[in-house]
Amino acid sequence: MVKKLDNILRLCSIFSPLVPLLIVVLRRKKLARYQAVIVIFVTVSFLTDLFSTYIMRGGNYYLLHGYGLLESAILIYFYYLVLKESKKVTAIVGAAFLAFYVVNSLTWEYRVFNTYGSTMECLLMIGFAMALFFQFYKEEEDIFIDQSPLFWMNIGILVYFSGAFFSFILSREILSGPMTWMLHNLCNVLKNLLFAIALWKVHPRNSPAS
Amino acid sequence: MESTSTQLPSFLILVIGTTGMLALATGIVTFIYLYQRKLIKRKLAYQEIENLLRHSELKSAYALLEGQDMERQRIAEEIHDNLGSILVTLSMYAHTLHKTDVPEEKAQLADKIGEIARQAHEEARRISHKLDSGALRHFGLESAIKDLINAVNNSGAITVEANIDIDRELPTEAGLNVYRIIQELINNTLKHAKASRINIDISPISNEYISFIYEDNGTGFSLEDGQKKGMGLRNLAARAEKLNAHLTFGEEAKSGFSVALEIPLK
Repeated sequence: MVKKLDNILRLCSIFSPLVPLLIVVLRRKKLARYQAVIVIFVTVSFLTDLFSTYIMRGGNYYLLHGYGLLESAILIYFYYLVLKESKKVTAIVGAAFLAFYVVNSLTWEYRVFNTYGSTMECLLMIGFAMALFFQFYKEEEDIFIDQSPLFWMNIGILVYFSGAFFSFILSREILSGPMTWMLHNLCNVLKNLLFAIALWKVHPRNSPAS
Repeated sequence: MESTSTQLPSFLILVIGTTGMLALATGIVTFIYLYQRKLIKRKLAYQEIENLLRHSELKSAYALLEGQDMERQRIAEEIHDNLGSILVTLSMYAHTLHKTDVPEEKAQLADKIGEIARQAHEEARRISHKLDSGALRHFGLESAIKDLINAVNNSGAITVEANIDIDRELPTEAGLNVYRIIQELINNTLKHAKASRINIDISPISNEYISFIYEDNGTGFSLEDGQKKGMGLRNLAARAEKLNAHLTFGEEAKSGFSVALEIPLK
């Protein structure tokens, strides 16, 4: 029963990026740069999952580390675009993290699951998401915040990285024991659904900051 | 067996930890959403008050125009009844002077003409003084301020307590500046201060000054922030300067916002 649920969630997680991607294709709205960055992120995530599941059959650590690096770089750029006040800090922290990630992948976690890298990435993204929420709180610009694509994208990122945090901390236990990636997959599905809502809310009048 | 027992706490940590993190994320999102909802309500209420203020300002302008019309009519009557009749008398004496040949009578008539001319001059001075007096100019300021306060109180968004005692004459421009200062301050309180009460006190100090004190019980602000945000402080300072008034802001450490003006009457 658990195995069956695990499989269903895994499949849902792999194919859930299709929902936001279909919305982009069908609605044909012109995207702001930060929205395009999220679409690229969803596409990269989808292709990597497809590749590791159906072509490489289980993937390997090079792919995993490479994807982690690309994912972090894309999301750091996303926050660099949308965080208005602390762009310099965002760039410095992001660059420092990417440097750490590369060094970690080549030394401490070479050819093993990138537990430290992923956990640190979670903390960094949770931090950025909170900073963006603080920006919403401070600026009071978007009165109808639930109409803002950026709001939903930020929720997607916060939910995914908060929910996946403990899965990454315990990743070695998950890989060696009977525990599964169910919760991580569930959060990934939630993230993609929230991105779908965000892309549905895209309106031609939405400025890059809204 | 041992392996199962170590896996169980890990599994529990995973489930509890993930649930906790998701709950935290949900909490943050909910807070931001509810905060924004509150913001919408505040902005809508503010918009309603702005409409009321505009309406009340219009009413005050009508009252002012009506007052000016009444005053003009009164002065026109005074010119016609007093100065007019004196000039008719003067013209009559001048006519008689022209007709008489008796030197004594001529001298008497000339004296009378001189006296009446002085009277006419006095009367003209009196009317001119009335025209220049603030009675005409400050007409409606107190009632305009009271209308404004009533409009804000009627909106239900905030309570304004006021003590308005303007028994001195203020020139039109000064009155308008006082009115605009109050409007600007109320706008700022509604927009930025999250206050529930405003106190306004306008009262004379001896014969030289009008004291104006404005206070709210909101979040207050530092002068530096106020200048950065352009909260109309520049307008306020410019209006105070036009009034030649001394402007003092309340202590930043104290809660709420307060400002005092000493408006010279001369």
